[in-house]
Amino acid sequence: MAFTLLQVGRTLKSVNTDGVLSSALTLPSGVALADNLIPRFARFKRYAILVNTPTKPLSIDSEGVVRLLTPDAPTVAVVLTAGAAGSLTGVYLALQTYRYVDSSNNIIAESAYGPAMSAAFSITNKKLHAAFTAAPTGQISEIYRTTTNGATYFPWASVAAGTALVENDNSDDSLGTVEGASLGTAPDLTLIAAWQGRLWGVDRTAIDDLRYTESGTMYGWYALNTIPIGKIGDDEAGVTALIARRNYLGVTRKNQFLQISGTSRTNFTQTNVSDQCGCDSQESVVVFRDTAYFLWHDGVYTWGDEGLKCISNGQVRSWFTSDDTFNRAMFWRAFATINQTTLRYRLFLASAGSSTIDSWIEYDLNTGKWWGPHSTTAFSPSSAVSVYGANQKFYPMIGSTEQYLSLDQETREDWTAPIAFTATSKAHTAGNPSSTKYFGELTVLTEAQERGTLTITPTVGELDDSPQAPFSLDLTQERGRLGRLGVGRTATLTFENAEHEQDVVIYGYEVAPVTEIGNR
Amino acid sequence: MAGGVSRGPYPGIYTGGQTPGAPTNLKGPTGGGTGVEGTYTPDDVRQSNSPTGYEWNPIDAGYQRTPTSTGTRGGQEVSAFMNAAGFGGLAGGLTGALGGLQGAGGGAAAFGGGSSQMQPNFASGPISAVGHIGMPDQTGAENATFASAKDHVGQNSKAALSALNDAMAGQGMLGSGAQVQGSRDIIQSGMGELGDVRRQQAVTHAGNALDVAKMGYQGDIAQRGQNIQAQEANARLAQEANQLAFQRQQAGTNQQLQLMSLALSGLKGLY
Repeated sequence: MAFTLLQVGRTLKSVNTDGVLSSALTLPSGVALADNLIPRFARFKRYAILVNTPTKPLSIDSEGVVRLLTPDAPTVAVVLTAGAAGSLTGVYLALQTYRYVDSSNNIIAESAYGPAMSAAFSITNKKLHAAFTAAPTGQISEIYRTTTNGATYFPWASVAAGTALVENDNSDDSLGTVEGASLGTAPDLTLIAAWQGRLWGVDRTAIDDLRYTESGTMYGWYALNTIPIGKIGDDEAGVTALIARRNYLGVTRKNQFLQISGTSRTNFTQTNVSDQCGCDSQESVVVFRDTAYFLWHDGVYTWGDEGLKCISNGQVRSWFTSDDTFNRAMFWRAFATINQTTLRYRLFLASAGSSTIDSWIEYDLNTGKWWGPHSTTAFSPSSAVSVYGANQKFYPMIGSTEQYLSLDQETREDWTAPIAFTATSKAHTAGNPSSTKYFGELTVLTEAQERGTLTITPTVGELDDSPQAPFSLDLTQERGRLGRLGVGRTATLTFENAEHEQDVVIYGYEVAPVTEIGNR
Repeated sequence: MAGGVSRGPYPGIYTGGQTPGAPTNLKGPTGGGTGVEGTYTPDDVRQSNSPTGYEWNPIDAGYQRTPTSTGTRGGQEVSAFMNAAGFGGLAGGLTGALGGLQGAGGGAAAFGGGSSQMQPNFASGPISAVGHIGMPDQTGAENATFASAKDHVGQNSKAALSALNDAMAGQGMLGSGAQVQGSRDIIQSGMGELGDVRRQQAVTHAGNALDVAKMGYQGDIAQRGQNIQAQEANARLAQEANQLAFQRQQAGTNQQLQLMSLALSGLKGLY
């Protein structure tokens, strides 16, 4: 059954399609989760991959079993000796790995090879005896050996956990036909992405290198599978985000955007898309319909077939280019999701003066309009999650520091708390900002509700004048004729409502007459 | 008259019973039969003084090797030759073989130096055969060749599988039936190559064994031919020796007759 993984504090839990939260999943021995870092997930075949917060990268299968992404490799070389009388004659070398296997003996993960033997071992008409460190519980040992005087290692024997030896005189003919795979231990990853049948990631210390696994595996982090991402050493952040989009893997730095293309180590190509654009937060990246959305320091961008494009350069550019609305120093902690029903990109940011993520904005993919900023008094957002429902649909949810998941709903309340609504009009000048005008009677047109009151506060005079006494509009009426606004150069209206479960729909308003008095 | 049979029809030497009326007071040659000590001819004296392995030939008036010593010496000479040539294992057999040749088919073994005539002294039994040369052990070389081939196949198969996985991943087809089939084909191809190596080794091994068997067979034939030639030579030599012996016997008989005639004529004079 499908489930969604969550890190709750220092534990790992899952939510099933019925919304039931599991108990803490059992972590491998010696592995702990940090609660001051951001967990990063990827999906590979039927496994979820977790990096950045665990001590070592983890994989979680569909049953909720948590394993090391790559088992720890053997630390002692195999020792070969002559066994009982047999038919084997030759000079041999051997290696050992550890494996996770399923009930059908399919490989789930395999460690790197253990240390190599210092010298080959020769026997004549004997059985070959190998002694090694037994595999820990839940794993098996895989022993490889060469043909006589050979340099290529072939699978020789699989040994159950707890057993530390193997002895037989199987001929070279009986060894596997294919050389042992290229293996390697998964580094301590901070970023992870699945692309082209491989996992891609960035080491916590080698921040300028892009690492990837052998094709088709999540555990074969072969050392040669490394792509340095220029500009090496340019900053202390290194690679900031990985964006898998169709036939390309986007790799960003603070001020650079590259894309990787190709299918194998011999033909992976790095192309510079832009030297004047990057990504500030991996969690702000969402790919939807072959278009990636992400946050950079001066706005929200898309990466699609047309290249890079800023979608916040219009009315809301000031949100990202000043500290009036949001704390730009917290952009690196921003996170986002896309509601596939409403087709809105929802980006969570820290409001001006705040050091925590406490507000969000929304971009309508269809209309291109921006909405917000929004906030809530019910909880403190900590993550944006898409949870797989029982109807096989995704539901965008908000994780919170209160350890709850919140789901969008029709009812206008957050956890029984009212949602405060505030909308401010522009400063009306009647086309002549310098002249003093008489602003007449205010009329507001709204959708009739069952109840509720809309508070309208005018500010007439100069732009920095204090607001005047508010008007109250009965929302059960479709039209409300309110009082005269007064005299001044400009007139601004603020509409507010903080009633519980109260809808407010404003069709428009009118101020009449507006009479120009003159310049004073 | 009692007495043993003397060997030679040497004049004046008879033992009892061979010639009626002949004097019986004559002693036979050294080591010969019984009788009354009488008169020895010079040939008797010479014969009794023959060196070891030699006998007095009154016809040639010289010492000649006895057939037995000739054969033994011939075998020793051949043995020495073969030891020097590095065939010491056979030398000892040859000595016995030569002894056997002496006795086979009544022929004479004509070996060694010395006189050209000899009395055959054939030993009984067949000619010893020369053993076959065994096929050299090629197991080590075959295993090394196979190991090298397996290394190549293993590396190539791994590279091919990796390339297949890369191509499948690029098309989003990892785990598909196409990948499974492709992997199967690669592995079977590798196994086929290794099978070819083993098969070729088996063919080569069988060919080598056949060659060695042929060599053995040819050697057997050659040896048989040589044996037959040797036997024919022995027979020829034996025949020649027999003829010579007969001739010698005839000559001796004639000489005896002459002596008898002379003796009788002398006796006639007495009487």
